[in-house]
Amino acid sequence: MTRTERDDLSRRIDVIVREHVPADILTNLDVDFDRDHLGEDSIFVVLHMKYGRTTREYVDFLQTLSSRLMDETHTSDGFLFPYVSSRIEEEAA
Amino acid sequence: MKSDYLIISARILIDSSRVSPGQPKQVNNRRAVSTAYYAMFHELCGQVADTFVGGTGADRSEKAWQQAYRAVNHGSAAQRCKEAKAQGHGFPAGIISYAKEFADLQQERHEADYAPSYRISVRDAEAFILRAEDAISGLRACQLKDRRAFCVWVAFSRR
Repeated sequence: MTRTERDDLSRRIDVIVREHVPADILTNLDVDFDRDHLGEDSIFVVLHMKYGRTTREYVDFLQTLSSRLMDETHTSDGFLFPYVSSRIEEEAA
Repeated sequence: MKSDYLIISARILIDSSRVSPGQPKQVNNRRAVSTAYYAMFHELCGQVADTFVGGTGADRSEKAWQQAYRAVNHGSAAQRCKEAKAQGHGFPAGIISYAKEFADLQQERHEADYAPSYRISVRDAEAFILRAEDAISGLRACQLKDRRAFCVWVAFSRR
């Protein structure tokens, strides 16, 4: 996969994430290309989100997004599995 | 091992995290993520054994059932789950979703169990438990023929 293809894919992921996660809770987004624990080239998508919704709502965003991303990560190097996780700010103590 | 009890166990860990400040909280959160993954893993083992040999109440050989239960390997199961959608096998949505969450959770469990610097909030750990729970429910709701096809896909390698 070329650098350009990787950048294009990162931008596409960014757009898809913003389509699925409300702007008022998404604070940041990390998209990394790296090997997973099985040694395979993969994509790691980490959503940084504000505290304030129910866990159910966060899970709904993650599940819909997860499913959607799998349609987008076919590359010239083959299918790169998109691992999706979240970093929800801890509630105030 | 019943996957439902593992989900309950993961929830107990998170509940104790909410009331115990300091270091044990991270330990509990990490163990909760790991336990949520194991709920998914044991659900898959049970599905393999039940769909191949027979469920509770069936006229089945217990030895054969246990052998089928132990046929699932963590690494190859995750690999097959990753391929389930990518290669377009026509699995229903409940199975695709289960496969996606299985791979996500196994990766997270790997971090939670082995990465010294790994930290996770109560909310994020709880989200993984919910994802595991939803995925298990979705898998169970699929037709027997689809669950069996998925179990064959996961348990048997192609030649």
